[in-house]
Amino acid sequence: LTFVPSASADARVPLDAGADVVVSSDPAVIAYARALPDFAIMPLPWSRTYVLAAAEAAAWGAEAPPTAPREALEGLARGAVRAEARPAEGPFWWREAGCEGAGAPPPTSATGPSRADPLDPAHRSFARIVYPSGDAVAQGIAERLVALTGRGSAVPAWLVTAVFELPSAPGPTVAAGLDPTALDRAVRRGDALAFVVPVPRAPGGPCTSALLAGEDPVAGAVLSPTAGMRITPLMDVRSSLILRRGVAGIAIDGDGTLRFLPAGGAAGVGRRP
Amino acid sequence: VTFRTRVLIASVVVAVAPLALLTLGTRHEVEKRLTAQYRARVEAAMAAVRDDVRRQGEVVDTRLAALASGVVEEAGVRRAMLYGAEGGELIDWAGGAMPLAGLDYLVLLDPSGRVLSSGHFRNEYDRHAGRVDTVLAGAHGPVLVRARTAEGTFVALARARALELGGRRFLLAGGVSMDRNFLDRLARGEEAGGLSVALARPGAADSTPAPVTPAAMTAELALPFLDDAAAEPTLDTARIVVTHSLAPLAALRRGMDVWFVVGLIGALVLAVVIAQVVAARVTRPLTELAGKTRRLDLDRLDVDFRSTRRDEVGTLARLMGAMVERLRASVAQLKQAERRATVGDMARQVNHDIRNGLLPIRNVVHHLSEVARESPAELAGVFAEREGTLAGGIGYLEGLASTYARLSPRADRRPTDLNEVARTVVRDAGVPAGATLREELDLLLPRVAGDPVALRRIVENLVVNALESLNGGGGVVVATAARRDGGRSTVTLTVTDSGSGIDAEQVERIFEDYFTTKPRGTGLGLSIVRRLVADLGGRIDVHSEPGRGSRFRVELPALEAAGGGAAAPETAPETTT
Repeated sequence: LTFVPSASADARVPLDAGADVVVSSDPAVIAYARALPDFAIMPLPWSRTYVLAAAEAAAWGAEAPPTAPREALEGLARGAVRAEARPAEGPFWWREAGCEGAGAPPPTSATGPSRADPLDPAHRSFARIVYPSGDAVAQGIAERLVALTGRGSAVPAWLVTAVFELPSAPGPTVAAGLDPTALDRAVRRGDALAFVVPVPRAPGGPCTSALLAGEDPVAGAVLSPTAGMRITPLMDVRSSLILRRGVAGIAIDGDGTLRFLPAGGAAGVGRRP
Repeated sequence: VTFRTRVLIASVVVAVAPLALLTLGTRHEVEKRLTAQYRARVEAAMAAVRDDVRRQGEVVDTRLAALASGVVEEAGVRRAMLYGAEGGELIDWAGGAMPLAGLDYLVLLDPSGRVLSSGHFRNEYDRHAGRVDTVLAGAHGPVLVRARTAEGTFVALARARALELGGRRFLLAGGVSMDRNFLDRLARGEEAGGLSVALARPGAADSTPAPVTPAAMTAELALPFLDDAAAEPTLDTARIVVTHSLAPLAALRRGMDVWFVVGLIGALVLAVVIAQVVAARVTRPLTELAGKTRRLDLDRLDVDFRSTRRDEVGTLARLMGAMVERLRASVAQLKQAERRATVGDMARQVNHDIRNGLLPIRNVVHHLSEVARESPAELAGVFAEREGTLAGGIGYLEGLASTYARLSPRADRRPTDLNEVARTVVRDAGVPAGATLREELDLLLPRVAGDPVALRRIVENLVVNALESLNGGGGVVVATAARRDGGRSTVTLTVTDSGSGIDAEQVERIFEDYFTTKPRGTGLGLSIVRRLVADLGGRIDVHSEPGRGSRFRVELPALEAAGGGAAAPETAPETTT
């Protein structure tokens, strides 16, 4: 296998340049490949769950984990992002116990401690919804949330529930992309109204996801018990595999592992239990 | 107010007044012209801004017309608009069309005013656009719209165009961002010259230009302003403000003021210096003249008023000198008259005394004559009897003569060789060890009319004083010289020493009675010298510097010219009494 870095953000460029395998979540790329006869498309397992993290109110600590209405999440998945997305579906591994030994953070939404001073206005210069810079899906979600907060009294109730500081936010909300270091610092200092971040979602089960999250500084920072965040799942996102026909076969294990097969050994793309 | 003060005031006025007038006039003229120039620039810039805004609105309108035509032609977008088809095609349309059309603000609104597609804020999809549809649709020109993006807000110069599709009326609104770059373009690169363009809109403290103050000149263009980023959209008026800073003018004014102050100080210093110099040149000779006049009295008419100046002060000094000469002549005549009166009185006294003295003698002689005629034999006895009376009378007369001889010293005024007197004094002077005394005599020196004894006393006093001032070292020079000043011949005796010298204050008092600089001096020597010189019709002056020595100069009328001719003194020689 030869991995070729592409200088373009548009995955159609390497396809046209002769790449045999391209993994992309951009619907435009997938639609483009589907229109070409030389490529086969195979959706991959749902690999990320985008969550909305906001300061946990002390009074709400014992309440049930927040959820958004399915209609709203469908609207988000349909219009806010340019990716194959669906409303987030549980169960969510960070709400389940039993994976502490695997390095995953313990459940935080119900019993996690709040930040020492989540409402201190000195910690925030303005009301921003932060996302990891370079993540187009997170940016789309954050921008949609900003658009929703601009409706004045028509702000959706679920959003106010998820971000309880929203009504007292200092001025209009804005979206801001931060690099991992700055995002981690913003989480620690509470220097944002809310965070939109991807959390790993592994087919192998909650502990596998927890292991992956432990290696992701952004997800780890948001889900850390010390962050005292209220986590609202928004949407699941997956990518699709685009394979040039006749080059190789592809098999996907139950835990999501991709396996390349000899071109003559398997017919096209298949799944293995 | 002294003359010096008057000169100072006059100089200051003459130096400062024209400078102040020039500076104030220049300052006023420059300020007036620059202000007019700034006003013209502001008005020209405002006209250009008004034209640019109008043309930019037309450009936006043209581009919206092209986009509207594209929407109608694009089947997918058309279907989504009319039938609400699912998918991101309509949502993303404005995001793709906006940069292609060169716009910064683009929204497609359905007939109910909801956002179908937003180029500047994609996720504004499905939001009700507030008053954008009503305001922009009803506007005849460009409208300033404050729009929201995910990262913040911005102000766009926007127009709108209605779009009829499927019997429904959609609205396409677009515009260009009125950001700092846009405003700078309106300023046309005049920022360096102090010209700036700013947007003043309601609710934006940061974009509101500073209030109009004397430090800035402004002009404004009002435009409708729709704040669509607010929770409750409002329609108001915003202003494009062209401002010309008056800072360069203020800086120029400050610079001129600084230079004015510098020039003023310079002029003041120059005026003071000139005033001091002029006043000193004018007042110094007057002060000297006043000092000489202060020294004058009937006993001291030897003050020298001679001057070589050709100005009024010189004329005044010469007039004073002539007056002193007349005073001296008058004093001499007065003294002569007094002397004559005194001699007359003396003669009467002598006559009276002699008559008194002769009376017993005449009686004795008359008695002896009668005895000799009538009784010659008794003559011897009578003579012996009256001899004592005769002897007493004669003794009385002799005593009387001695007494008058002592009372009336001899006025021995005769032609005297001053060189001879000087030689005698130098020869007889006791020169202390380490000191020198020499003579520099003019061999053709004319004689003077005077008492040799008085002359000797003059020279002797001066030489002794000079030797005593040496303090054991240095030298004394006794010099004589003939001099002719106009029609008057004089003889000068100069005694110069290299001794201790005296200061100016002591020089002023050196000829006063009982004034002395010597520990055991009587203070009468130089006073007597001055009187003796005055009696001889001459004058004496002194020049001395502490530590460098003194020079006494005696000037006496010459009795005869150096060539042997006679020269009568202008004033009658006087004798010491």
